[in-house]
Amino acid sequence: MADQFYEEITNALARELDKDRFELCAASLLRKEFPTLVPIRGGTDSGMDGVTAGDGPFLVCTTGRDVIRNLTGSLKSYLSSGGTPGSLILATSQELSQTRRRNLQKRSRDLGFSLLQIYPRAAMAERLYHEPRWCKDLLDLTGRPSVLTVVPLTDRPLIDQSLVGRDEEIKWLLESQGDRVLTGQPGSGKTSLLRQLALRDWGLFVIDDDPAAIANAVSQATIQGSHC
Amino acid sequence: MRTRFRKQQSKVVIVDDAHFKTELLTRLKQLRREINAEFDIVATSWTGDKAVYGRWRLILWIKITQASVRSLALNRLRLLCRMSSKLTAKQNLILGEIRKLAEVFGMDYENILDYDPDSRTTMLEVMKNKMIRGQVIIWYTLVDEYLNMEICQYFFGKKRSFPQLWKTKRFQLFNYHVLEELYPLQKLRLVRAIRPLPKTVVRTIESLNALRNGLAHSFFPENLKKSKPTRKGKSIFSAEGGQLFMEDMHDVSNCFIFKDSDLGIASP
Repeated sequence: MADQFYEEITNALARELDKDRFELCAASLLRKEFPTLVPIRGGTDSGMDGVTAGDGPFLVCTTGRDVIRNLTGSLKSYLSSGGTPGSLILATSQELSQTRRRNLQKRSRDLGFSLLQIYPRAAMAERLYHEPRWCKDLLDLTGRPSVLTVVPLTDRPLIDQSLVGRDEEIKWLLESQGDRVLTGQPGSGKTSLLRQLALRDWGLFVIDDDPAAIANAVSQATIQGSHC
Repeated sequence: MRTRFRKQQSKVVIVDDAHFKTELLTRLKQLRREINAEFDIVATSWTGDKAVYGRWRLILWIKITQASVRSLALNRLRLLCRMSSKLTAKQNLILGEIRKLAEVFGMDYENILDYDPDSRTTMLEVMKNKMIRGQVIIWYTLVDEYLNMEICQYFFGKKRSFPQLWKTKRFQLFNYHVLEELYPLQKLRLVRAIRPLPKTVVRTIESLNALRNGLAHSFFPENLKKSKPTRKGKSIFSAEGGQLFMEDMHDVSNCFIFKDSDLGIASP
């Protein structure tokens, strides 16, 4: 990974975490996407770690390795406490393969729930990246994002999904040379496409327009490079 | 950064929403020169207003050629997902069938990029051709149905509905041995004898009959002498011709649907 701070966050998420703090952190970070999301603390949560207003989804968090077992436990606990099946979102500090995600979706369906979105380790790392408070509170990391980073500054949710139907654009970006411009309507997926490539070490986003900071980052990288 | 990028095989600096950050682009270019680095700049920009923001300003700013600009269309899959979420389960099922049929019949113009590049133009022409032929046949059968209705109502009255009439032997025999034996133009003459029809409607039905015959019996109707596939001088295979065709068909339709109102009964 070209971005050291991002790498530090993902490594820290892989370690054992304080479950309560992770729940609070997840609820706080995901509030951007679910503005009415509030955390539920303590042992009376009936399987829910956060709720949203009205018929919105509730939040289930888990830091344990056996994500499907923890999810099942939470949903059964929710049902046994009188809850009716609805929709939910899941946040976890674990990495999840496509198969594991499918299994989680299937298990939710089997229990009558609709799992709207899964936020695995990479998704949580991206949301933590620009949140120094939670980096410190949850992961005990005091670093700051580099001016050159794999995580763009965007108000849109960073959805951790594989790219579909962008083969020609990816080919063009990977194979063409020189300065290039990618244009498109808002929401067409420009940032998302480049972010996916950045995560594969193709490039880095500039997230600060301070000339001094940029010059510093570029020069520092050059010095680091000269020692390699 | 140069060495780092070389080592990581990544040598691109991405400037997101660069239409707001032209100074940053300049600064990056300047830095690249100063430290002799070898990174490329990839900028994203709204399609935007040419005069104020957007790609044209950006192109001028970082002085790149049109070949270095790529426009990202809205993802079709995303549009389809957005559409699906607003439809009922049954509507989604039908939509799925339509997509499947469009693929089976080679009418899936939205998948044109999946076709061989050399055959795309031909395939698009064929799709357009099929679409127009289908539309002409549908309107031909619908007009035939309107004429049938007029004739049946004249001979059998309006008191009983068509499902009720179909239960009578008299009505069945009339349909099997009279209506089925008549061509649309013969039916048209009969209807005109029953009630007056506007001349324009009569001419439209006659030309529809000729057009349908041309399309149904010839793969290259443009070579026909009598049934040229045109509408008021415009090819039926053009958007303008198609539009004129539809306007005519709606006039015919109104004549039969609103026959008891001023719209339908015009002086012959």
